[in-house]
Amino acid sequence: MISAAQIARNVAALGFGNSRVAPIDSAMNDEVIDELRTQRVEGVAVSGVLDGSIEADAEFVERIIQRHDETMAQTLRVEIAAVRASEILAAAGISHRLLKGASLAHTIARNPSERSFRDVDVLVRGDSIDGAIDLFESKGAVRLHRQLRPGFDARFGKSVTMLLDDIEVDVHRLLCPGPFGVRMRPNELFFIDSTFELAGEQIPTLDPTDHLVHACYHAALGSAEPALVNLRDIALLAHGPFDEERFEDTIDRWRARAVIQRAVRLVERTISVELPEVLGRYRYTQVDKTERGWIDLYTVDDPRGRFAALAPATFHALRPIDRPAFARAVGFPDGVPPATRVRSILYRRK
Amino acid sequence: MSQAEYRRVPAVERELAYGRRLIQPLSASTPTQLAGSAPVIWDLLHEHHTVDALVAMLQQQFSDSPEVIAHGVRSALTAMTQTALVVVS
Repeated sequence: MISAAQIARNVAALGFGNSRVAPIDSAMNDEVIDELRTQRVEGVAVSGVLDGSIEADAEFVERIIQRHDETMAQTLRVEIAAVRASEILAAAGISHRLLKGASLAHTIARNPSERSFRDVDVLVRGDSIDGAIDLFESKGAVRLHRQLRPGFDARFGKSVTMLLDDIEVDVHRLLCPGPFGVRMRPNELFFIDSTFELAGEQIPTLDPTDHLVHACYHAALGSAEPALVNLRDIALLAHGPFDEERFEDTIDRWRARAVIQRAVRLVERTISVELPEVLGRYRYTQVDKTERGWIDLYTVDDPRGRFAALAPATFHALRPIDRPAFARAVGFPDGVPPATRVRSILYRRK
Repeated sequence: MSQAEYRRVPAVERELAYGRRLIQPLSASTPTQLAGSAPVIWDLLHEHHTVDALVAMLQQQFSDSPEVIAHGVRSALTAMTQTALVVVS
């Protein structure tokens, strides 16, 4: 019998040559619905049951539609927070780009209802991040984790997580943490102006090429097993219009072939969607041993463990002039007595 | 005397199964669900319209009599006004 995980993978591939999903056994309804929700492809499943590409009993149809209704209600709350975050930054003249979630729902999904999201991700320039955080705090947002040391966010941080109206808002400086974050040139993501309309407002976002770069980074470096929705994002972007030359140029200059290789392999292995040759050629690209080692560090699923695992690699990827400040911030963050910090490091090593 | 004009407020929205629509104004804390012909009326209200103008436009899409359509439009507008989805000018 086909597993719930495999059904979810087949759902994630709907529209890419895979036009049907094997009939869902009634006995597996609960398991399949939970898996579709976990993988955030329940919206695609609803489209599938309505257009006949997924065969299931009436109970499954009723329940998946009900769950999707609930998910869309939560998604709208997050989307309003996205509009508000963009308005706050725009009113202060802070250049920004809305990432992932709402942007992809409205620009690449077949229908926005197929793409749910749980938080807001917004990119600002490194030299604007402190101002953006102060601004959000002045509007009632709360920062979830303190900065390791003054200036760390703007110089080394990937993002700052805040709660705005009880919705998580990640204010990004980079698309990923660690050594591949050090290698990227995030200000290049502000070269091209792209927008989409939301509630009558023009919201700045990435263009499809930069969205594809980000989707690959997120899937490859975000966790050991990315959610299927993130792999579907790559498939949708790769099969849509994007600037192939600029994509390759970015990946070369950011020295991120290992990242794209893992993203391509994940898409092809997990949801069996064949990608256009411009991405497919990264499948067997030469990746050096150090980069392969770095990729493994990103797949530590516990966020605290991942930060600790990435810190030494980040240190080595930084310019020598930046290393002392990074080491000081990570080794001896503000608010933690040095003796306590030394004890915790020694304890972890045992 | 000129007729009242209706227009929708800034909102986010999603299509749901079976032609339903989930709409949440930016200023609201919960969404409202529209069904039947209400989503069609909502779509038309991206511009100011009077009841007569809405009825005339809907007559091109539905075969019901003008009276039935007008009744439906008024009911929908009343509900949308009460839930703050539309404003009247």
